[in-house]
Amino acid sequence: MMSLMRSFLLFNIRLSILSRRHPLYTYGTLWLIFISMVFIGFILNPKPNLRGTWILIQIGAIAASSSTFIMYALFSYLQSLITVIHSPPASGIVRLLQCVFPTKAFDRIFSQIVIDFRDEHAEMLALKRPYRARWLSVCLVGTLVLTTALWISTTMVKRAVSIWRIS
Amino acid sequence: MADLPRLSPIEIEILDLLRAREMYGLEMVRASTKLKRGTIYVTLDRMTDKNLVRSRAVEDPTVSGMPRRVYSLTALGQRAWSAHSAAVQFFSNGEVLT
Repeated sequence: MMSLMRSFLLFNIRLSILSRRHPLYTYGTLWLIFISMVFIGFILNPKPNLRGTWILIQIGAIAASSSTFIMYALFSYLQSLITVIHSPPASGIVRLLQCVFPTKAFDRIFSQIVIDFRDEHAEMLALKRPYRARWLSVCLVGTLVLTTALWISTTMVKRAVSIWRIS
Repeated sequence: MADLPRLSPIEIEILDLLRAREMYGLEMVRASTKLKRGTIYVTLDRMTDKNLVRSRAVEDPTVSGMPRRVYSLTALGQRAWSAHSAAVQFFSNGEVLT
């Protein structure tokens, strides 16, 4: 029972993450919320024939999951019919980094990381591995955060050493 | 020998890779198990400042966007690598114990 509820929750989270990338999945998530509300209402006001709470929970969870799966499959099919133009991974962060960091640091460090990940992202899409490509996009953001922290600490140490040498 | 910069294990790995030919950062990461994507470019930037490696932008006319940089060894980098390998050979032969 607990594993069923956990998988139901994970499914909901995953769908919410996907909704950020694909507008059509937003309707899937809205459907899930609607079904969940119906399910909660069903528990709070049970029918006379089905009074066992656990039975109601199981029926509700199965109904919500299966109907969401059907909606998900339907929206995936609709998604495949239309052409969606996506911006390359981390394009927003790249613009921000270009503003914040010196040109030299951006050209030598950050742009190279972005190019590497975008190349691999394109490779994965060409190999029909979209989940791997999405995972690489997440990794790119993580790597940029890590590299920013590393660059700031390295620069601070360099400055400290140069000041110490002057003094 | 005294004017050669000290090398970290990551820097030695990079110099070792660049001895054969000039490479991109991603090529180096793929060719080595020690190098990580998140740290290699910061290390390469530091090595460029130390004049151990040099880089040049390679523009691909068929691809728009930011240019890639390809890295190669400098004369100082080559000397630093030779000194390091000589030191390793010296210690591995056990000559320090005699």
